[in-house]
Amino acid sequence: MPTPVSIARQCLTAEAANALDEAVAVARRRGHGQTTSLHVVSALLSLPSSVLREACARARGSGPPYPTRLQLKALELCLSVSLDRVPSGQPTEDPPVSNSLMAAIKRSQASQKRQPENFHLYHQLMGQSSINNVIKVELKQLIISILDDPVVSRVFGEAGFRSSEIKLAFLRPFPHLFRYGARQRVPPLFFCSADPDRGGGLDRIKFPFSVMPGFLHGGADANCHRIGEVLLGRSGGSTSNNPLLIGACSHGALREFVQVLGKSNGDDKHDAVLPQELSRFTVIDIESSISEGTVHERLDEVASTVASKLSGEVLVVSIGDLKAFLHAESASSEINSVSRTVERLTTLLVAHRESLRLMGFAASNDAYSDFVGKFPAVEKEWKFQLLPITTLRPSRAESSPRSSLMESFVPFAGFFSSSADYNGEVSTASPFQYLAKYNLCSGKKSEREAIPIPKSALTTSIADQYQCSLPPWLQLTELCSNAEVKDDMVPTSTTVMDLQNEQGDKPQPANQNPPVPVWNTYGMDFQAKTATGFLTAEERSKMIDDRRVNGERCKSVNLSMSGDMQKDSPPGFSAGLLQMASSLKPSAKESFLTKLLEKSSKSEDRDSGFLRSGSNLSTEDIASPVSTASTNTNVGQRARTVLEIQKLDCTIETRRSHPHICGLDFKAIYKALSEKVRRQQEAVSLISETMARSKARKLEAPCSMGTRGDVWFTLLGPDRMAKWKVAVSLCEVLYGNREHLIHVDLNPQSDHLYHRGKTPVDLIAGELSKKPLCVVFLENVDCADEQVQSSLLQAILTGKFSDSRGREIGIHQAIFLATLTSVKPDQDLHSDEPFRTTGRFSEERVLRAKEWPMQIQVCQANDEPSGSSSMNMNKRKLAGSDVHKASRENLEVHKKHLHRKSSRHLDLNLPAENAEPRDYDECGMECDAIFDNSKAWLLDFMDRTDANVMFKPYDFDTLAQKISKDIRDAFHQTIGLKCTIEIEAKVMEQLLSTIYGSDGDEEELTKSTAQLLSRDFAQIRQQCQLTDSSTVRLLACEDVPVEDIVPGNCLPCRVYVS
Amino acid sequence: MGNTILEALNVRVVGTSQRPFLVLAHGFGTDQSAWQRILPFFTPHYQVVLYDLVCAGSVNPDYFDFGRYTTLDAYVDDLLTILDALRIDRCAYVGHSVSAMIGILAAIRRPDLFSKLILIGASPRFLNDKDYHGGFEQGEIEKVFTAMEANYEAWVNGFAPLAVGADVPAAVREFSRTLFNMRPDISLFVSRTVFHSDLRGLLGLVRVPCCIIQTAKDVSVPASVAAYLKSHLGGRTTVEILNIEGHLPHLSAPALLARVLQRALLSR
Repeated sequence: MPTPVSIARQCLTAEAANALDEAVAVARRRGHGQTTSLHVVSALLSLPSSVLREACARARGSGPPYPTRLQLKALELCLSVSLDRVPSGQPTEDPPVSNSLMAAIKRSQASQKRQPENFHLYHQLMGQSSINNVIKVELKQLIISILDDPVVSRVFGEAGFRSSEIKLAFLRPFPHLFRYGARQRVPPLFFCSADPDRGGGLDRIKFPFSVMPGFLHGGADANCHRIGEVLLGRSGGSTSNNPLLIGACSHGALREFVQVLGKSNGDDKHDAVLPQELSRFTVIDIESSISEGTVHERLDEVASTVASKLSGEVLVVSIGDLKAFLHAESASSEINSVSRTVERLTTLLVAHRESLRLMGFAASNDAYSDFVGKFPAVEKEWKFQLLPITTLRPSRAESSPRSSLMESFVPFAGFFSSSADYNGEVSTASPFQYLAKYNLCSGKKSEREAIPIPKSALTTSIADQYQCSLPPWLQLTELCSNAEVKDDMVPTSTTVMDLQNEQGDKPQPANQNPPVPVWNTYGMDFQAKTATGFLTAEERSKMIDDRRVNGERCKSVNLSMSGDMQKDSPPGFSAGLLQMASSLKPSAKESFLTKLLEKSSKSEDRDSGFLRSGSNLSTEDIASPVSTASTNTNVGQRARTVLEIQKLDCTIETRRSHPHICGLDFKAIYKALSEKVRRQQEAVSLISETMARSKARKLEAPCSMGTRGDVWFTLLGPDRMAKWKVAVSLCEVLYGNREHLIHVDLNPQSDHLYHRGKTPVDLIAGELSKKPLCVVFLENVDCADEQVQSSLLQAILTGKFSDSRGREIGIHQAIFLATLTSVKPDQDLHSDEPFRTTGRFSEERVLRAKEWPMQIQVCQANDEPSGSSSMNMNKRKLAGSDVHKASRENLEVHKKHLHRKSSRHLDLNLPAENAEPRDYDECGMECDAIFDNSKAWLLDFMDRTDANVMFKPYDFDTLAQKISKDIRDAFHQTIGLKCTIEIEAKVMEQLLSTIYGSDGDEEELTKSTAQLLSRDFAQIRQQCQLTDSSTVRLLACEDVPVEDIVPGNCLPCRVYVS
Repeated sequence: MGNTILEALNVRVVGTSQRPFLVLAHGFGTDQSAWQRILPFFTPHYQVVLYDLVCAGSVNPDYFDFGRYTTLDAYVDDLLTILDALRIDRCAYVGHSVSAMIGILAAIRRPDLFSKLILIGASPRFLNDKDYHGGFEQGEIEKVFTAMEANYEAWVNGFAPLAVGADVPAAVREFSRTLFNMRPDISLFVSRTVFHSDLRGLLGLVRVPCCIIQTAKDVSVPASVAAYLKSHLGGRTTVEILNIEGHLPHLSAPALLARVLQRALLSR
């Protein structure tokens, strides 16, 4: 069943399909019912540049000794006879493809698939539907398959061809070589065709890799060709056609060109490498005369020659190395001579634009620039076109030792020497050169008579040599594994290693830490960090609501105030002010400042009003704002910002006399931060300074569009809480609320709800696009994945953060805080830091503290503190908490700042929400793979941030001692010295956690805690009969139902007395 | 001509349209697949142009014209033809090994076409010379060529781990594959061309800013070469030393290299 043409075409490349179309046309013309292989052959032969014709011409050697033209004529005749015999069928528009032709196409598909160079290509395509649909048969393959067709081979046989020969000519082709003249025509590759017995050993030597005519001559040829092109003014649209060869090999190239040109002119027959037009060119070399001092005689000669030139003929003056013009400083007469030479050349050039060319070379660009510097007129008048010459061509025999390869061909030594006589100027760089030279002279005959050499003889000789001296590569392999240097073999590696050592001396982290320990500690760090958190985001918000409902008055006061504030003034009020203040130009500053003042004074009024009126708001009233705007959690901070604005006023007032606007930010930020984070004063001052500097930089920059307002920090070291607070208060002082804080924990183990389904990079990008004015708090930046890393780096460099799809978000207003728990990125992580291991209470432990209600247990000395004997007073529980609340209120009233402190508790544990470590081993493995790169990235990242801020470790132990001392004092004051009090470690952790999380003064907090407890102690004294032997214990009440737990507050808000 | 060469040299343009162009040019013994682990870092931000050198194993060996590819200039012609065919008027260029040389030459010819050259494992000349340490003696090279001729596969197996340097079996495997894909005669021919090239005199003609990326230990390129390049290249030049070993950082340490590349591309 014949195949429709369209289907057959699908299997063919464009070229092959064209051939098929031609064949179909032939079949149609002749009225045949099918398109057969014969039609294809006919079509192929009739094509203007027929590959088949070429192949036939090449294969003719095996046929009868007729001229090619005649033989091809015979072929055409035989073909048309055969075509005449094809039965004519029903004439159709497109005679379908015959089965035999289709089979040939299929065969070629199969063989093409097998070809090694295509193998991996098709291997990749394997997955796709059907290979046969994918493989497009190349014309060459198609022809080879068609030649297998018996009908076709018969026709070729009749014409005196052997189709197998033609096939061979196809398979080992150098079709392109036909374009390069006879001397480059070479026998097929991999054919060992030298037979030393034949022709007295003067036949062609062929071994597998010897076919290098192009390299041997072509390298030079290519250079010559390019020089010729320049002389003819054909290259690159440049108006100049005086070539100046530049490069270390330019000398050789110039000489080669002069030789080739001279030779070809002498032969009256041009080499294929040089354009035909160059026959009009003659070279006169004045290089030697410049140094000899006879240059002027030569120039006279030049002048007379050029004058006598017929039109169209061109004289090329080779001035040789430009150095000759430069190194003439010794005597003034020489300098004069040189400049006169230049002048004369210039005059000649101007006079004979059409018939005179200059040609020279310089070993390097410097020489040329020196030359131009010395003779400035030259650049314009000589119009050199610089021609980079890259290929080294050893021009001196002594500089290129005979290759060892040559020695392996001792049998042919005579051959080599005889060929060396062929051209006296032949260099001895490599044996191939001789071969090529010989190829040149032996010409076509030898090519045809090439007969496979006994391969074994050649390979053994090579192999012998191969064994006796291992190739350097292989020796290098051994060498590297031993890490020792054999200097006689490899000078390279010595220097490399020296350099390596030098490198090693530099503080490169990777070199200093053995990789394995790094790994372990890293993994451990992960564990430690992840253990700190336990709340998901959802739980957290619930907890906040709960606490609201818990009904602490002080909070509601603040909350209502913040709510009203939001109604009255635009959100981000103070932030806006600050932003504007910083971005305004000095001219507008005055008016702006007055406005700012007005606004702040208003807000001050409001502030005081709220303070007076807000206290009687009920919990119900505030419930809705809480649920709708979860960001209002920072109640206390709201009040603070108001205060902040007041302070700002003062600073502005002072600043009016001192026009340094940068100080404004610095002071405001510094005050806000230092109040929040008292314990990290150095870090805070560094941050605020950097902020001020960056703002100042922005102000100073003349055009505000191009300037970058983004500021980058790396926060190093322990004390997560302080870092978090820095972020929060920065956000608040700049933007007035916490809505502009973007918090992302890059630790892959932190299982935030908002992380789900989003890659961190998209998460950050999404948030950034929502709030261009923001503080981005990136925790554990050392755990960032590669995407985040690359985006961050890009952002820091370009000011644009791109998400995973490449969309870019401008970050010109953002402040980036990247935290890092380790002190240095290159340090072994944490394990060796003293504060981690020596202290009783570590940051992790404290942050991990659960918020159990506190219980006070009274035991007699002889009494077991067991559940059975202790009585649990449910009623007391409620009463206790009421009392507690009352006490809070009182405190509120009397101590102005305490509301702030207690509200701090709201932040508590916010950053401590990492999931428990899931699979430590797995984590370690993952980290292992990425760590090396992460570290490098981190170093790089840190280099580029505006400031790297070091945070000091928090001294929990001292605080713990203080707390226990205060509680003891309170206890003894209330109950007396007779009883003893024990504080459970868990309770202490809770208390530490509370105080650590708050940003108030430690001292006051411990005191107030003690005061609170003393109320409870007083109750106990009333209720229980305390004897001297009684012991009062502070316990964490772990067995209460979960719903009774008040999250977020570690203080003993509920006291179980038993 | 344009389309033919695009097809012949397997030119691909991947990445995000409307972004700047980035050309990734592989070195000797590899093909464009060498970049595949680098590629994801750049596709979001660039239109990445990938192509195979004509000597690569993935290109039909028939295209390798022994009469034409005798100097690096022919390769430069290819590169410029490709860029012209794609109508690229400006691009950043990352070239490894021989492609670094090609990039240098291309930037000399068409300085306006390249915004930046990033040269990985680049060397203006591999052979030693007086006052220049290229890393190889003529004699050594001849031995290498002999070894290549004698048993190409054995040579590949010996050379690949050495070139990769670092102990990354996957990279060695990959490099061996692509190296062995090259037809031995082409491979030898190209290495001869490369080893006999000398760009030292031309470096001053480069005006495009360059970034030289060099590993701490590279069998093919001594570290002094990076310093040589830096002092001789005509444009603004920076050197990045990667603290890894081997001539093929894009195979052995792709993430690290990608980052350095990114930085190099972004730095002004």
